[in-house]
Amino acid sequence: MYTARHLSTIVLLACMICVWVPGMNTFGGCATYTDALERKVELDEVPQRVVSLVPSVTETIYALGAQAQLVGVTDFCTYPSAAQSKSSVGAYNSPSIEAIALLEPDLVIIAADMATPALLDTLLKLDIPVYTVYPRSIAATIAMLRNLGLLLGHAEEGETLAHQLERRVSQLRTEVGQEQSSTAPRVMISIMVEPLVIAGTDTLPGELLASAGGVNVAQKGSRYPMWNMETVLAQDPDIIIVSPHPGTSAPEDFFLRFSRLRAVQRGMVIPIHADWLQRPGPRVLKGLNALRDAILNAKSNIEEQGNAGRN
Amino acid sequence: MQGEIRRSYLWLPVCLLFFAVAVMAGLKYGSVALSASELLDILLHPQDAGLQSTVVWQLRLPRVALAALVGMALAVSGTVFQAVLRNPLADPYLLGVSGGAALGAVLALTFFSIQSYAVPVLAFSGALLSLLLVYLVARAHQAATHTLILAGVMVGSLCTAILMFLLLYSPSDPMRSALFWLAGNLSRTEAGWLPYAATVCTGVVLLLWARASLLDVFTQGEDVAADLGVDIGRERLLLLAGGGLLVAIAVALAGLVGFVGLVVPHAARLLWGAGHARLVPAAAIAGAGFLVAADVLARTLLAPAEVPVGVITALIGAPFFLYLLRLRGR
Repeated sequence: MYTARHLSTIVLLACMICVWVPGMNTFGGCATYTDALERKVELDEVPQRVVSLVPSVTETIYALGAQAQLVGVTDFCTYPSAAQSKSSVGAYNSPSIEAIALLEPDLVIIAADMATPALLDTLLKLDIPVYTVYPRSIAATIAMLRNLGLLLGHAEEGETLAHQLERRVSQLRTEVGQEQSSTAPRVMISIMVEPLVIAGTDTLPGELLASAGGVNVAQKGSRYPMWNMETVLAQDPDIIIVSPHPGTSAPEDFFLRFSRLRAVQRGMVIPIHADWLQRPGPRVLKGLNALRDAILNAKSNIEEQGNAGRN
Repeated sequence: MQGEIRRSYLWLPVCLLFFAVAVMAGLKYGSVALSASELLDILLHPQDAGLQSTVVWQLRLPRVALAALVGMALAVSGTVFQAVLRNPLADPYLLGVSGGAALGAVLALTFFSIQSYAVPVLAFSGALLSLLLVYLVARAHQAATHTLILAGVMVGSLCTAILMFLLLYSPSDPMRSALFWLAGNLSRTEAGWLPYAATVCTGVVLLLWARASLLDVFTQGEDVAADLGVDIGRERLLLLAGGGLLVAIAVALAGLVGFVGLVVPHAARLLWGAGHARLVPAAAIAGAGFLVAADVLARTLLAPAEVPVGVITALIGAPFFLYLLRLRGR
C-alpha cells in the first residue's frame, strides 16, 4: 500500500516537472519538449521512426549520427546525398499525408513557417506527434542543433555541433570587435540573380555576414528585397556574394558583365554554396568561415591598393 | 483637345511624339538620378565610363530598345489577330502561343540554367510548335475562325497543364525564376540578339502593313472577302503566321507581357478609325511607346524593386481603354 502510494507520488511529481519546467525534461520514460510554436510535445521514448519535412533538419540528423532513426524525408532533402535513399514523402511544401502515415512515424518534424495549420492538424488527428522548428537566426540554429540532439537521444553530438558554431561566433565577435568599423567591407549577398534577390540584415545570411565583420549594403526594405541592376551599380559593394544552386550554376556571370563594379574589378564576386548561408544547419559554420575569408581577402586587397596608391 | 488628337491626319505626329516622350523618360528615370542636361551630355559622349553613363548605355538603352521592339510586335500582331479572327477579344496569345512559349521556357528552366540561351530558344520553339499544332488542326476545317480559336484555347490549356505538372516537381528557386519570367520581364537583355530580332520584326510588320487592304477586307467579313475573290483560308493562315511569328519573338525576348496586344490596337482604332493602312503603323509606334512607358513605371514605382511590367500594362491599359470606350459614345 505504502509503496503504491509512494510510486504514484513519484509519477505525479514527474508529470508536474514535465509540465512546469520549460524545455526538455526527462523522468523515466516520459519526456516533454517545447517546440518552435511553443507547443508541448510529449514523447514516451526516444523516437525511432522520424520523418523530416525540413531539409536542414534532415541534414542535422545526419550530422548528429541519428540517421538510423530517420525513415522519411522530402524531395528537397538533398544533403547529404545518402538522404536521397530514404523514402520520400513528396515536396517540401506539399507532402503526401498518406505517404507519411504509411511510414508509421513516431515523430514528424516540420518547419513552423511551412506548417500550415492544416498540415499540423491533419498529422495530430492521425495521432502522429509533431515537432516544429523555425530557425531564422544563428542563435536559433544553435538552439535547434542542441534540441534535435536531445530529442533524438544524441545529446552529446548535438552539444558538440552547437558548441562549435557558438565558439566560432564568439571568436569572430572578439576579432571583429578589434577591427576598425570604417574598414569593414560593404557586402551584397545575392540569393538569386533572376530576379535579383538580396539578403537583408534580418536574415540568416545577413546575420552571418554581420558576424563575419561585413557591412550589408541592403539595410532597408524587406527581409529579402528585390533589387535592380542600377541600384547595384550605385551601391557598388566591395564584395558580391553569389549563391550557385542547381538552377543557376554560375550566377557570378550575371555581375561580371559590369566591369564598372568594384567587386568585379578586384575579383571579389565570390560564390558561396547557397546551403552554407541559407540552410540553418551544421554547415552554417562553413558559410561563416567562407564569408570571413572573403572579408579578410577584401580587406588586404583594399590595403594593398591603398599602399600602391601611396607609393 | 480630344477632338484635336482624333483628327485622322494627326495620327503620325501624335504617335511619334508619344513614342519620343516615352523613350526620353525611359532613358532619364531609374534608381540612379539623372537630370535632362546630364542625360544629353551622356548621349553625346558615349565613351565616358562614369556610373551614369554605364547606367544609360549598358542598362537603360538596351532595355528601352527591347521594350519598344516587344511593344511593337505585340501591338501589330494583336491588330492582325483582331482583324483576321473578327474577334474584339483576340489578343496575340489567343492561339495557344503563350502556353507553348511558357512551356518551352519552363522546360528550359527545369533542365538548363536561367542564364543560358535555352530559355528564349525553347520559348520561341514552343510558341511556333503550338501555332503549328493549331494550324494543323484548323486546316482540316479550311481554318474557320471558331476552329482556330477553339484549337488555340485547347492547345494553350494542354500546355498550361503540363507546365503546372512540371512546376510541382521543380525546386523552388527555378520555379520562382520561371514565374518571374512568365509575368513578363524586360530586365534580361541579351543585347546581341536585339538587332536580329528587330530586323525580323520590322520586316514582318512591313509585310503585314503591305497587306493592309486585305486586313480591311477580312474585317468586313468572310463573305465579302470571298466575293472579292480572296483565297480566304490561305490568306488567313499567312496573316496569322506573320502575327504568330511576331508574338513568338516577343515572348522569347520578354516572356508573357499581357494587355499590349489587346489594348493598343483597340485604342488606335478608336482614335483614328479601322483602316489598316493607318492602323498597322499607328499600332506599331503606339505599342512601342506604350510598353516603354509602362516599363518606366515598372522600374520606378517600387524602386529598387521592379514591378512585373505586365501588371503595369494592365493597370494603366484597362482604365485608359475604358475611358476611350466612353469617349467613343459621345
